[in-house]
Amino acid sequence: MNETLRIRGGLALPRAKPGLDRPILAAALPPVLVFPLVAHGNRPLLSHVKAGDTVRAGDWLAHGLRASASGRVRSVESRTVLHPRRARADCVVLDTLPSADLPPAPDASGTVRRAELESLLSAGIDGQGGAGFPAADKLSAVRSGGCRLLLINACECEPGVACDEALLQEDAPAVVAAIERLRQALQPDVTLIAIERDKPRAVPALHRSLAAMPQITLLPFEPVYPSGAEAPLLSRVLEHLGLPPVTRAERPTDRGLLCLNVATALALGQALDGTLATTRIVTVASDQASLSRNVRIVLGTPLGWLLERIGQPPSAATRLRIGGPLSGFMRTADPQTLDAPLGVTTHAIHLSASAPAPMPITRPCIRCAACAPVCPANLQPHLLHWHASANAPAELQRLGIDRCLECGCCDVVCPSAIPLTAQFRLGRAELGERARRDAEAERADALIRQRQERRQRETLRRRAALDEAPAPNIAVNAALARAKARARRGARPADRAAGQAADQTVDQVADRAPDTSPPESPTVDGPPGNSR
Amino acid sequence: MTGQLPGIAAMRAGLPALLPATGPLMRAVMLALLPGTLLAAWLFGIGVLVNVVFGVCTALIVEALALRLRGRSVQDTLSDGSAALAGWLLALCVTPTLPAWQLMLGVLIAILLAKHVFGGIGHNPFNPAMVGYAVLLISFPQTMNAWPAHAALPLNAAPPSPAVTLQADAPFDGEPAADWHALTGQTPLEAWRTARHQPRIDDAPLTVSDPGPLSNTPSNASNEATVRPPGERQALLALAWLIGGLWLLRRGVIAWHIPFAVLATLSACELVAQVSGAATIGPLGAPFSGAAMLGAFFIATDPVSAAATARGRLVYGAGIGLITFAIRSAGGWPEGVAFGVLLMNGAVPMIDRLSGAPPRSADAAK
Repeated sequence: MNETLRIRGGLALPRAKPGLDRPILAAALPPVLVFPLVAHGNRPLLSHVKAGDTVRAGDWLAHGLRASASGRVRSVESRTVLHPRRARADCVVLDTLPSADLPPAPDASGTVRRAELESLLSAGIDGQGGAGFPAADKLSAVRSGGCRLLLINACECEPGVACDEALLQEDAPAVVAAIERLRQALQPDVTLIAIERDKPRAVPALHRSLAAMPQITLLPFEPVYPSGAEAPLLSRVLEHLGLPPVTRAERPTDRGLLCLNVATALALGQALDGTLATTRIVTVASDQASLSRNVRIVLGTPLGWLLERIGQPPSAATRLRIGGPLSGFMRTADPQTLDAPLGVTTHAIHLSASAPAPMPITRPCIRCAACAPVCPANLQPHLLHWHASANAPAELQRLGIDRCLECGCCDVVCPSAIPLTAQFRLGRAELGERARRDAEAERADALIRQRQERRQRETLRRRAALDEAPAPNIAVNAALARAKARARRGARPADRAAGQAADQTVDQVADRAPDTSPPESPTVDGPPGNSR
Repeated sequence: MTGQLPGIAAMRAGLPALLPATGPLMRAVMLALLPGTLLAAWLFGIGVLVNVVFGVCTALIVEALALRLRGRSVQDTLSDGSAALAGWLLALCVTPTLPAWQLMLGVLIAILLAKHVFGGIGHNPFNPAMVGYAVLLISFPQTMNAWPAHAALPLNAAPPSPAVTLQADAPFDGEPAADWHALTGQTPLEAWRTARHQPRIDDAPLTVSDPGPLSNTPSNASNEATVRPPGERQALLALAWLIGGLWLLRRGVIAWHIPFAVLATLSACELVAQVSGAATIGPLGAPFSGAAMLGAFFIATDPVSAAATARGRLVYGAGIGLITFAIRSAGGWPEGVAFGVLLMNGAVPMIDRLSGAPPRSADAAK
């Protein structure tokens, strides 16, 4: 299987992998660790700890969030975070204890497959691919139906990000061992490692380590951005395997297709062996290539502390890019930002002292459609742009905006320099908000319908009770008779007040019938005088 | 809307030019038009060059005026070159002897009515040059059809005598005078069309038995049983457009879909006509006659008014080819590229809508 695959669309960007010529630098345990209480999808988390609590490495700080070192909780407070969609978040601030004790193993009881998986589910490991998808959610989804494909994603396609490649260069045997461990636990039909073929040391390292593992196949990919995104990669692999593509209605895990970033796979494999992953590798790049390093940090390490530690203290003018040049976001090096922690999703930091390149003037779209062939999601960005500008959400939905990966390929090729991805991000956010409001309205609608039906039922029951049981009161019977007679004659305006009085009496009688709730409104009964 | 990431700019700068920006894009198209324009000037006289210079200048002035009126940055938009290109294309489509004020009016309509009324570049549903051309053709049939004597290369068409040209002032009588597409010299097409209509002429003498005083069709064309091959002159010119168009394709300025679909459909229709026994210019002659080549590579490919999806562009181009063939063989005009482009422009929103949604089972992994 030496055929090199290529994802649909994408761009062959110049290869720029910082810090690969030097070994991974292991940063020490910082005096303070910060854990943002934010889960995948920008969901807030509730803290399980409070100021003054002592925690051990591996203890839960919140649902799905483990402490990566032992220490004492200093506070739970709002802090600046490095998050693409929020500026601040509540964080657990931990004063670490100097005794760097090893994290305890999660409940890795041994050889029974089911128990192994359970231990993984409780390991609280988030994907290190950039999205931070909780690996446990994927695992539990494939656990029920059985795993058909285990796809390890070692395509690190974006320039400026090199943490996965650094890991493979240095530790391919450990990675392969972890994948093999996962494979034994999950028993997938096929196990593949997808990697871009332009990684000069990582690919041979993987080849060597895989020599004794015939069950794991290395799948070379053309170096095209964004091969590392799960959707286009999985789609191409499925095509290669002759399997039908994942449709819009299902998730890959529904079909037993498990796609894991290579560092996530390592963390999961180690968790099976009883070691909790508390670190990740971060590419710290700089304008001067010689200063760029890949650093292994403890999760929760504050950015400023790390930069001081590796000898690149930022000045106030330094501009920080969190993530790659296409998918990342910019921050300034102010003190609050430097206090922000590096989490499981932070794969790269770029420090830049120079002023940003001037943006070309944005011109109107001339519908040249240069954006369409590079779209890895097979969308028509120019049509999306047209309808997003016209604020036509239904059209955006029809054109598949929910599949947009926000990879930025269309931005790069647009001759009119239109910020397409930013527009699509906004359009998707609005669509999400709309869907939320629609669901809310739907729910309110259902409640109102239920209430009306309930009241209708009650009215019918009251009438039935009235017809069956003779009224206990002669005066009431007389009033009822008068009301019926009037109804036959046809109500006259002068009788209306009397008729209302009679109706009220009837309602009170009905109220006395067993298990009847009080009447809520007379409107259901129709206008007085002619309803009965 | 949030702005772009500076990284995008860096990536744009770092990449070998995938596609030039709008300005260079339009300038590349104009560069590709240059050899054909010079050849046309050699074949049909210096009037061609005068028209092009005049058309481009008028277009730039009108565009600047319109931008100013609309309160847009004149410099930013004028430099995109789209107005100049529209003026150039329109000037190539009219006769070299067209009065200057008529060409000016055409450019005015192209820029103001077809472009800025709809919101300027990127928003015009119809190809501005073709709108200006259609208006001129309908308003001034006499001058738009008055062709100068092809004195330079008397190949296959007898030039109309000055006396005939003077008769151009005769009232326009229903059937439009035939020869309306300028540089590409309608002569062989007209001859072919007349020949095709030959059997019917005896029955209905009022149809096209008389090509009209404005036509430069040789009077004996209708008597010929067979159809002549396309004139060497227009074939030569078509070759120049083809070379320019292929260069644009190679540069990635235009995509192959539209030119291919236009020419292939046109040829296929001609082939069917030939097989079914009709008088025809032939599947190979068709692309090298009339305005087919210029239209396929330079006019139909105007990105703003063309379909924008790959599938849509094939449909759009095929529609142009089909309409061109229909007008050439059965319509009142000897050439149909301009109307084919305009009609298909009108169909573009529907084509884009039908072809824009992603395939149902495509990679939706999320």
